[in-house]
Amino acid sequence: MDDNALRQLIRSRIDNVPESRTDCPPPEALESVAFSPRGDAAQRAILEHVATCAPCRGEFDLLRTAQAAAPGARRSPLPRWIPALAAASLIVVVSLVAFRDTDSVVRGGDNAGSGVELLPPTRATDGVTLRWSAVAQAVSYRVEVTDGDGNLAFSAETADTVVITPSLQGEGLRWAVEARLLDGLVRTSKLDTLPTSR
Amino acid sequence: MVMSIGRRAGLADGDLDELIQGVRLRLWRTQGDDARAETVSASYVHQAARSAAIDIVRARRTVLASASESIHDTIIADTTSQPDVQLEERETADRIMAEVETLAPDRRVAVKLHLAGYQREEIASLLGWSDVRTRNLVHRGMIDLRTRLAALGLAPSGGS
Repeated sequence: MDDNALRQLIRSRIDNVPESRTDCPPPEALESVAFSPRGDAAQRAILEHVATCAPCRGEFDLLRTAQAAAPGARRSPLPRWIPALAAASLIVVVSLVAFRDTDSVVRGGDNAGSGVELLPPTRATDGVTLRWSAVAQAVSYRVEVTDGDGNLAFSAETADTVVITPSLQGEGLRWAVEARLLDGLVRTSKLDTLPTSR
Repeated sequence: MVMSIGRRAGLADGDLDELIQGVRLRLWRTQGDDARAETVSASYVHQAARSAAIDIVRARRTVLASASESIHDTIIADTTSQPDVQLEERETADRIMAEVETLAPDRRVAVKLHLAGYQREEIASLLGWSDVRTRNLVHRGMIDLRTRLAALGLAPSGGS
């Protein structure tokens, strides 16, 4: 019985176990491991579960497929087919909405578990594209832009990590992001300067 | 072709379609007309893919919870088709998995991921290990496992 035979035997067993899923990690935990692997004890426990739970394995591979679509991502550790698959998916999506990928892409670091890391804003057609790194277990983000006097110039609530502001005028604009987590906690970014739209 | 690739990786049929559809909906919802679509960056598509994927997982959990009873019945029915063979294989697999659980923690997680079919570089990335460390832990973990299985009379051969 070689490694492949062992794999098949275990895979067959795992696939045929009725799964109540009561012990499965929440989707956000799988997402955290897929998008921000840290290798800490908590994530290792999740990975051990994924390795022996067919439904979680499927979900994890789906999340990893989405992760592999990351532009400018480091060399993917996924099997060779996954980046190709992700790229193919991306091309389909891109062709459907006919967008031009003209933005320079800046990838944030792994800041899961810490504050929100703001990425450099880029000019959009009318306003500014604001991006930040995802925070593990965040359910929503609140973005606020304030003017030099501290007045609110723009705010938005989103589940994504990108917003495009309308045209913003004035000097001394600053922006920050607040991540609201699954457990009710809130993590905030630093307050960063924002270039005006025009 | 894409679907066959997805199946090989264990992704359920339709997962990729669902993912693409989710991304499309998000882009349309947030970008609106074509002019705004010009502002879509690749990183935004990535974020849309991420949120679409997590939404699919959440939705699947909900569906599975409500369908768990019928799934359980189906599996129980299937196991009666070749009871002897399936019972033997199941018992063997259970013994192997029980032995895996007795490995040292680092070797255990490495072996589990290895037997789950993840490549060495994937394991290294997921666990934040160097390639050398990963190779070492998988190799030594598999040696430990084979030794233990041999003691149980399962005597696996072959390398990692």
